[in-house]
Amino acid sequence: MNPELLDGFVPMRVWWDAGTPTVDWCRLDDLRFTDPFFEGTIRRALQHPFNLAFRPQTPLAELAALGAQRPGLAPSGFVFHLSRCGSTLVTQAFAELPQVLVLSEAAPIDAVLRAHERDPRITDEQRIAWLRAMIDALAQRRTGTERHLIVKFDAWHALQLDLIERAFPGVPWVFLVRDPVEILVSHRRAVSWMMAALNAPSLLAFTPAEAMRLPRDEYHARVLARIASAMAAHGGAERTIDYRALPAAIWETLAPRFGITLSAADRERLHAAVGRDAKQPTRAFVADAAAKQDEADAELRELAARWLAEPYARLTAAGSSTG
Amino acid sequence: MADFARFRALVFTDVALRDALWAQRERYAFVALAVRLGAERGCSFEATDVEAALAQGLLASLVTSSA
Repeated sequence: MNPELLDGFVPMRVWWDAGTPTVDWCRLDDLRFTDPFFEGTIRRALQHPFNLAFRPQTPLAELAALGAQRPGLAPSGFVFHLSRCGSTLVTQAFAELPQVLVLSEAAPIDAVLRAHERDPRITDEQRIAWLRAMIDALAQRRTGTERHLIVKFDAWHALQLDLIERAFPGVPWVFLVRDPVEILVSHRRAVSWMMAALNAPSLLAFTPAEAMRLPRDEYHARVLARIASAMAAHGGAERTIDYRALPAAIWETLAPRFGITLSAADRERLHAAVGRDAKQPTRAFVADAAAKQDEADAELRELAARWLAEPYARLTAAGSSTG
Repeated sequence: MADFARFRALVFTDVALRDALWAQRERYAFVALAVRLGAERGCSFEATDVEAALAQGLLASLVTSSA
């Protein structure tokens, strides 16, 4: 594939063609990643018939060679999170800035990080090379104004932090958390793909059948505990930001940590963005901690105390931004 | 259908052809344009072949592995 023919295209998915990881490319041109999630922007791009009928496909193994001729932005910062704790508010705010390109839970990044689950012969070194190449390919400048790249990973990618740090040594990152009771209420209200039993082998080393035998709230608590404990063990406390510190932590902590200088106009854009509901931008943002606390019953509080209180306390100990 | 596959390969060797198709985002006009540009290049296929490719492209975007 002539790299020039891929100008304006980004990887939209990785699929396995008879055992070979293969990249599907989708043309975006100047369509920016401003939707709450990567998937939303791709869905908009797929409304163009070209992107349905004429998507180029290349082996994942060729991605690095293609990228060498069309380098993307280097990451300014990574956002990890415990799920349902304000990470979308953070990325939606930064996506308002024309100098920032935001990748929010991009499926092709997940596919690369989990490639070894599909084929155990895939080594860490291969995944590191593919992760660099994938982020580089996704981080192509499209408007010409972008100078910073922020990557928000899926919650479970915290379990792969060692590998991500090996791929991108020195890139600043933060870990967003929230009172575990409120997170558990959110997962009880609305199921997420992360909590599907088919993901149990990689999240908890459980079989899907074992996961399905557990009460749902307990399963949620144990998945979250695994992620929080991994982050706490990794020394994540220094980089933990609690939901209570949002939204001010966006301009007071995250922007400086990621090396993003904010003009007065940028600050206005950020303030306007945090006034909206991050996942449903046409609605106003409403702080809902009190409502979630009211909704939590004794069982949920017991699960939070049993599985999550200890790692949450370690993560939010002195040194973290807890608001 | 073989001619449509040949045309699809041409799209990714020819920037002008690629961009001519990209310039048309209305579905029915896009199908007609693809048939016409194909015919101009000796690729004989029908509107139904393009429609099938559109449907297949949508379906494929939903799965992560081949059968």
